[in-house]
Amino acid sequence: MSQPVTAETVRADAARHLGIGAEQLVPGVLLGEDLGLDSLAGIELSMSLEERYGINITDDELSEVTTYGHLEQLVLAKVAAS
Amino acid sequence: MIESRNGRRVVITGVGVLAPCGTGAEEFWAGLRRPAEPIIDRRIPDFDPSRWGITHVEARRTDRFAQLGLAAATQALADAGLDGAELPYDRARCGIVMGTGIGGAYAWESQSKILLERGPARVSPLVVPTVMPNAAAAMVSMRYGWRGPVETIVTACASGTHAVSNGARLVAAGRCDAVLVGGSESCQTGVMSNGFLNMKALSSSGISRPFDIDRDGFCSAEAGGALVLEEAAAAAARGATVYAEVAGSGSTADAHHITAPAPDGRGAIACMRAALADAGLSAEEVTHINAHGTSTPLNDATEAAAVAAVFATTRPAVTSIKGVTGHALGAAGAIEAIALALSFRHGELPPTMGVVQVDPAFDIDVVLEPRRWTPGPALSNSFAFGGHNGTVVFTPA
Repeated sequence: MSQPVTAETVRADAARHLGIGAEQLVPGVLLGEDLGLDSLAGIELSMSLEERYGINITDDELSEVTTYGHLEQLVLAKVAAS
Repeated sequence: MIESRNGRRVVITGVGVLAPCGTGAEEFWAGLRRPAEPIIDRRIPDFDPSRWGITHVEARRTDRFAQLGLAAATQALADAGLDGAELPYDRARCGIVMGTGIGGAYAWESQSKILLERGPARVSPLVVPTVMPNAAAAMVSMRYGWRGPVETIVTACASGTHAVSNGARLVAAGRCDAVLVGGSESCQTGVMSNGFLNMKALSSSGISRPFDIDRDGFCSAEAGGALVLEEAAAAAARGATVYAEVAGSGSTADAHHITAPAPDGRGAIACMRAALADAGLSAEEVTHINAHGTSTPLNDATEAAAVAAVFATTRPAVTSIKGVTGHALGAAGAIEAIALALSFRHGELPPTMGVVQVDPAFDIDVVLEPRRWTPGPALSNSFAFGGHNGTVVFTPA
């Protein structure tokens, strides 16, 4: 990546993918109940971030994710490890 | 209808349409009288899914054909006054029958590209529900909670007409009190458009001119059309405004060739006769035909001969709106049924635009200018690739 990956860049990319404002992606927001994402939409969001950052999120890891904050941490950890 | 139980009759109480010539019944009707630009590939210029309540998340998992179907259904149910929280019918007795020729062509094509260029792991998990041809009917069902039969008909360019007729049968047979019927299509992708082009079906001039001596193929189009059908007595009891009655329908096959119509028009003739028999009408009672009229050399010749054969003594007024709309494949029968419903409403027949000289080989009365019309028994025809034929009969309610 030419630019450093930060919480802000992940949030901006996730918001762009979902077509919502980045301010809605606070750490505690529930992807399902609050944002209305079903399992397919969650997989799609995860795939979009995987491609954007060249990382791999496993099905098991994704199944543990309930909040946006959790997803963001997962992405940042994967980027740091790559 | 002959198969009606206990005298149940079927009426049209709402319409919704999106077509290249206009969105909404009024704009569409006005557009049918405006000459179309010579464009081989006719699209809806200003379609905005969010205008029809389609969220960003819904838009990501629906192809354009499904969005057009949902938008048309939304209009039609609002027109009928059946879009509110209170419904005068049990939702388990409300059905949906939509048609499409192809389905989610854009997703299929873009995901094929992703598979080849970026690998199997990048193929969208949403591709299957996006591509499937039943997506439009499913979306309408989910939005309105209609849980009766919810089905999709895929008979190429006859899909929309077959959807109207099969939905009407659900009402006539007593299975449903209301059925949303229609069709939607949007498949002007590189693969599909060049497939049509290379099979020489498309016009090279970009002028759609049904029944003209110089017709040179159809102009492809996208569209969505939906009609609300209700049992007549229930519709009257709730004070619904009625466009026309669906009095009967016919469905036959040529059993001849995958794309060419049977040269003697036998499938089309049998279809129109079956529709008349279903409606209990004689050919002499029909005053108008909304033709399939694609502007291809073969279809128009076969259809003109079939109409001349069935209606030898009376020469009903024949119009094809495809001079304006182009050919919207699986949506065509739906938007043409709507044009016919609007002809009943306005007491007028839309012209067959694009025509300079009717082919002198055709012994039919082609409507070339808007014509005043006293509503009477009328047909709408669709004749499809695969040899599928569909005709619906509307009568004044």
